[in-house]
Formats: sequence, structure tokens, C-alpha cells
Amino acid sequence: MRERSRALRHAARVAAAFTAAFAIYAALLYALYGVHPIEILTSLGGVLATSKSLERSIVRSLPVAFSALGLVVAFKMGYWNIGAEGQLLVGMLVGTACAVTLSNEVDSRALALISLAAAAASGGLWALLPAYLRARLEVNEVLSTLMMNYVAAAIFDYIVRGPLRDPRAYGFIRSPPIPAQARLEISDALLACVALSALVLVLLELTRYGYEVKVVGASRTVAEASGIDHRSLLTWMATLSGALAGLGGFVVASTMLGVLMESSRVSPGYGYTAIIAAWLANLHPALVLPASLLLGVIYEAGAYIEILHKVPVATTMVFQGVLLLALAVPGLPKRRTSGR
Amino acid sequence: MDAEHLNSFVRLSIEYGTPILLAALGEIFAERSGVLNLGLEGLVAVGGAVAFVVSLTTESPWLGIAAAVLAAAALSAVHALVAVRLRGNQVVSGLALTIVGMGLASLVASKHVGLRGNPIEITVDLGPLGSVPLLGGLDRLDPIVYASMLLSVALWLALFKTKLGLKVRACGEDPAAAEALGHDVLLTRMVTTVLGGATAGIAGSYVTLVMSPGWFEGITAGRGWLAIGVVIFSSWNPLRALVLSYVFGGLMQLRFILAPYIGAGGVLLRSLPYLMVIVLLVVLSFEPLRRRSGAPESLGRPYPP
Repeated sequence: MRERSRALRHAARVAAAFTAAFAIYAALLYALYGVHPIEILTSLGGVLATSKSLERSIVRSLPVAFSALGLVVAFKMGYWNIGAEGQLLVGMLVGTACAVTLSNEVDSRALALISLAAAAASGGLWALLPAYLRARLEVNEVLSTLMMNYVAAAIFDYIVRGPLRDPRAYGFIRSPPIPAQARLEISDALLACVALSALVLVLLELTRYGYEVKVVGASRTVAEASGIDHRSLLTWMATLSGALAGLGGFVVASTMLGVLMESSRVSPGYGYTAIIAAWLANLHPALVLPASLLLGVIYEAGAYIEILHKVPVATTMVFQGVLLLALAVPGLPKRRTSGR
Repeated sequence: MDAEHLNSFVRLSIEYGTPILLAALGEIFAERSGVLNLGLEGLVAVGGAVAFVVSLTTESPWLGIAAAVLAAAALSAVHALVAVRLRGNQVVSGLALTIVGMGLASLVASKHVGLRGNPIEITVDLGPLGSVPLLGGLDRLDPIVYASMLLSVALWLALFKTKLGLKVRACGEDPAAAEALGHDVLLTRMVTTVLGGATAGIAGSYVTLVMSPGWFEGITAGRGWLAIGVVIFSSWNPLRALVLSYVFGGLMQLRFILAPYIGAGGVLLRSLPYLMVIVLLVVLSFEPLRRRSGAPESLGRPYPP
């Protein structure tokens, strides 16, 4: 019963947050570009109506969903992993490098699995450093994970411009194409995402680790008193979080992009959108995919408006940010129902 | 490195460090009163975009700065409302502010991408001071650089030598005690947050009106985040922030000096300032240093709890 009223309250907050975000975004678009709010709504409808753009929104929401699943685990533990963007870039880079360089040796579907494993492992490793620093030295993870994003982008751009550059790309900065046997079907990626959501749900709800994550998130003193090794728990869970983001990175490269370009062109900030998705899902693994799909549709509608009215798609960040801001507002204090 | 190169290195370090310093100064005040504002990066972006567009349309860089200050202050008032008044989650609210700020900046400035803006081209002649060896790099910079230096000193004095500063610090250390003494904790925190946003707005204007006049997405390059690092490394002290910002400014422009020697690897040097933040965070985490760092006791905690 309490579960249900909590879910209802969250739904009401999401609805209110959406209304606020839409109102502000629509007002700004109208004031600065003369785009009528109805046109924003019809472009949303347009995205949902054509299968091509619906497909694109799904592909866009996959890296967000993979990353957000990991963030749910981290946030529940009180670990502010803001580094999904970097973890995703590293996974995308290593997974693609793996697929491209091994394409002659491995000419079966196994290449896709090897690349996915490499993406997950590298994303996890990238997340390990700040996690380790936080667990052992109490280094503030908000800043360290965030700084790692900038470092990841610099390494990404270096590799794509240099070692992994396709010499046959007529001077364009891009990698050789990901070989066919390592390309993924959107439906498979979607299925994998659902399966991973279920796994994270099981991890959090049915295992000792999930229980420990919640205890650490609620109070570290209690965790320590009850003998939970919060340091190694934090390190492992943050690594898991990075591995999921890394997977998301390779998934988007292998379903949609096909080749790597400079970091600013391969990700419009999926890792940051994942923060919003995790929060929108109320940190519940089963809601992460629907929340990410919603954000994917909003982004795609933004791309639609960009084509129609030359309003840059980056402006959808206003929508996303207001949404997150509205969700940061705590619920109104509960009214006392019985006496005093 | 000969004298001329050294001068230009100092000069560029100061120019690159100034927006970091300006953002850090306001954040020091806000954090001293207990409010963590992770929205700096977005505020810098909004300040930059607004300053660029307004300076273009009014043909006055100074009106551009004024508008940037107002815009960034208004945006941080939202954070003040959510994080201080409504006791929302400060981390989430700040991150949201950054995301909103990036989007707003793009919304405001995108129609004018490719234009040069209306940059500040006045420089201040330090007269005989400029010919003193080692100070050469300090001469003939723009007025905002000198103003931000003076602001550091003024804020240091205000924070540590005045009653008002004591009040601000009390709100960040022990808000309950501050309230018992009759101070309005929430009001103080809201005012410092809004003022912190205002200096982040100037920081953004500096980027788009002085450093690299114009606008493109990503022009802020993490300066707001670096400022948050500087706040921590300076132990919440405006004078130390002055020096540290220039160090980070130096790191940011080092790649232009080293690039000719290392070719394609030059892009890797972009990561230097960000790596330095991680290194310094690790150094500061060692117990003896941590105890001396002097973080405000109630930083990031809502009041009343």
C-alpha cells in the first residue's frame, strides 16, 4: 500500500515536472524563435508517427538507458557518478577499436560479443579510478568523475584523429567502419537492455548486495556498524555502473553510427541525459528504459524542430534540465492525517 | 624561454585564469555560507552567451556584461529557491542548473554563431610598473583582469575582516548557532548564492568578450567545473583562489606552447587541467592536509536539517 502511494506521488511529480519543463521550453522557443507551442506538440507527434524517427529515438535512448541503469545503482549508494559520459566514450572507443582491428581474425558473430565485452570492461575500468579514490581516500567523486569525462574526450579525439583514423576517409576525421559481423540489431540491443534492467532489479531487490547498497545509501555509520565492507562494495558497484555505460557506448556506435567521429559528434551528452533518466525513473531499474525512451523522443522532436525552424537541438537541454530541476524539489511536507 | 616568451606566458595564463577566478570567487562566498552550487558551468555558459548577444545588439560590451550578470543571477536564484528555500537536493539541483544553462546558452546565442561579437578592446597601462622585470606580462591587460584581482582582495577582506563575513561563515559552519544569534540563515544563503551566480556571469562574459570573442557550443570548456576545483584547493580563500586560477589558466594554454613539439598528441594536452584537478584532490585527501583544508562544516546540508 505504501509502495503504491509512493509510486503515485512520483507519477504526480513527474507529470508536474513535465508540465513545467514544457511550459518554459515552449515559452522560450516562442519568444526567441517564434515557434508556436502547438508546433512543438505536432513535432512530438511527428516523431511518434514515423517509424524511422521512432527508431532513431529508440537507438538514442539505448545508451542513455544502459548508463542510467548503472547510475541507479551508484546513486542508491549515495555515490554521485557524474562520469557516465566519459565511461560511455571509453567503452565506445575500445569496443570499436576492438571490432575494427580484430575484423580479419574473427569473422563470425563472436566479434560482436568480444567488442561488447571490451566495451564493458573498459568502461568499468574507467569508472574504477574515481571509485577507488573515493573508497580509499575519500576523494570527492562529483569532481573526479566529471573531470574524467574531459580526459576521456581528449583521449577519444586523439585516438580517432591518429591511431584509429581511416586513411581512406578523404581526410575526414573518422575511424574505419565497424565490420558487419560486429554490428548489432536494434531489436537485440533493446532486448539486452530489458534483460539488464531485470538483472539490475534482481541485484537490488533479491541479493545481499542490493540490500547492502541500500544500507550504505541510507547511512554509512549504520553500514559500518552492521559489518558491511562499504569500501569494496562501492568500488564494485561503481565499476558495474561504468561497465553498463561502456556497453551503452558501443551499442550506439554499433547500431546507429557505424563509424567513430570526434567525441562531440558521437555523443550529444548521453551520459548527462542518463542522470536525468535515472532520476526520472525514481531510481527504479524497471522504469529506466521507459524514462530513457521518453527523453529520446524529446531529443528527436528537438532534432525535428531544428530542421524546421533552425532551433539548435542542444536547446532541448533546457527541457531536460528544467525537468531535473523540478524533480529536485522535494515533495511537499506530508500533511498530518490523524490528530496531532 | 626568453623574457618575451615568459611575458606572453604569464599574460595568457592570467587571461585564461580570469574566468576561472571570477566563477570561483562567487562560489567561495556561496560555499562559505553552506550552499554548494554545481551549476557554475551552466552559469558561465549563460553569461557568455548573453554577453555575446547583448553586446552585439546594443554595440556595447559593458551592457553585455550587465545583462550576463542579471541572467546568471536570475538563474542561480532558481538554485537558491530549490536548494535553500525548498531544501531540495543541492547536488541534483546544481547539476540541473548546469544542464539548463547549457541549453539556454545555445538557445540565446545560436542565431549569431560565427559573428565576432563586440569585444572589449580597452587595455590598462600600468605605466612604469609594466617595465619592471617579471611584471611585464601583467601590463596592458583589460580592465576586467585588474578588477577581478581587486575583487579577490576585497572579498578576502569582507570574508575574514568584517562582521558580515563572519556572519556568512557562521551560516556555513553552524547555521543553528548563527540563527540563535539572530542571523537569517536562509536569507544569507540565498543572497550569497545569487551573488555567486552573478560573478559566474561575469566569468562567462570574459570568455566571449575578451578571451575569444564570439560563440560556439562548448566554448566554456569546463571552466565552471575547474572553478569548483579551485574553490576546494584554495581552502575557500579568495586570495589563494587568485593564484590557483592563474595556475589553471597556465595549464589550459600550455598546449598551445607545447603543441608544435608533439604534433598529433597535442589534443591530449587538453586534458591537463582536468587531470590536475584529480591529482590535487588526491593530494588534499591525505589526513594532515584534509584537516587543514577548512571546508565549511555544513556545506551542502540543507537548513533546517
